[in-house]
Amino acid sequence: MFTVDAELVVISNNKKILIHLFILFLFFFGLKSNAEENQNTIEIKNPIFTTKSIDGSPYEIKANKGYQREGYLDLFVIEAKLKSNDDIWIYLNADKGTFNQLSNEILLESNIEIYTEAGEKIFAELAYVNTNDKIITLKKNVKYQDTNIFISADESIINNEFSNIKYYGNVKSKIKKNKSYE
Amino acid sequence: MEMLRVKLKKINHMNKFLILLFILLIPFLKVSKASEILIESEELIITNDPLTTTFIDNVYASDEEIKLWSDKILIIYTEKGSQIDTIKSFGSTKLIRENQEILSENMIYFVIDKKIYAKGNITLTQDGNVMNGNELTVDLVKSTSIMKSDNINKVSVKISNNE
Repeated sequence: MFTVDAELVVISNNKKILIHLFILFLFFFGLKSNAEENQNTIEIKNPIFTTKSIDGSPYEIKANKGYQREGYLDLFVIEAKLKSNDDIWIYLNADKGTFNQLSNEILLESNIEIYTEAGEKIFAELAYVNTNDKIITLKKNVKYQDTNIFISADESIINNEFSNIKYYGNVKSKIKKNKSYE
Repeated sequence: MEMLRVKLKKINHMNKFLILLFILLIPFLKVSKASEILIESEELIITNDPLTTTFIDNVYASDEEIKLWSDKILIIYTEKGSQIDTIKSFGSTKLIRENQEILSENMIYFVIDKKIYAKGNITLTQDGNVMNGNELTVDLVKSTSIMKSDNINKVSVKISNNE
C-alpha cells in the first residue's frame, strides 16, 4: 500500500515538472519570437518613396513615420500622389496605412482624402489602392464632392483615374442643375 | 458755420447714395442660385468621357417640380457639361407633380425646357380622373398635358364625378 502511494506521488511530481517545463518553454519561445519580430521591424522617420508603376507612371508616398517589416511598410500620416495617364496628379492623404513594396499596393485607413487638380474630392474611412492598374476601392462612409455634385455611399470604385467612378449601397446625391457663381 | 452745414449735407447725400447703390447691387452678388436635384439609389455609375451619370435600382429623384421613382435613371448634361439637360428613366416609372400622377414604362424629363415626355403604357391620374394612352407630353410651364395613343388603342378616359 505504501509503495503504491509513493509511486503515485512520484507520478504527480513528474507531471508537475512536465507542466512547469512546458510553461517555461512557451515563455522562452514567446520571448524569442517577440525579439525576432522586434529585430525585423525598422522604424523610419519621414520616409519618402518615389517610384514607378508597371506602366511607368510615377507615384510618391510620404509619411511622418514608417515601420519596415519584410516586404511591408506601416506608415503614419500619409501623403501620396499618383500621376494619371493624362498627366494629372491624384493626391491621397490618410492617417495611416500599409504599403506592400512587392505588389505596389497601398491600404489606407482613417480620414482618407483623395483629390485631383480638377477640384474633385472624395473621402472615406478605408481605401485600397492598386498603383499598377490605378484602381482605388473605397469603403465606409464614402463621400464625393465637386462643384456640381455631392454623393454619399457605402462603397466606391474609382477606375481609369477618375474617368469612371462607381458607387454602391445607399447612394444619395445632390446635383446642381447648373453651375452657381456665388 | 454755413459752409460746414453745406458740407455735412453733401456728406449725408453721398452716404444715402452709397447705401442705395449697395441695396441695388445686392441681387447681383448671387448671379444665380442653382437649384438642385436630389437622387437616391442602390448604385451609381459616373463616366467622364462622355459625361454620364446613371442611377440604378430603387431610384428616387426629386426637385422643386417633380418626384420620380424608377428602376434606372440616366442624367444627360449639356455639351459643355455645366448643366443638366435631360433625365431619362427606364423601366417601371412613377412621376408625381402637383395634382398629377403618371405611370409609364419610359420617361424623359427635359430639365431646361421644363417638359416631360412619356412613352409606352401610360396611366395619368389627375383629380381622380384616369387617362390611358401611349404617349404623353407635359409642359410644366404652361401646365398643359397632351395624351396620344397608337392606331390600335385609342386614348381612354375615366372621369370621376365626385364633387
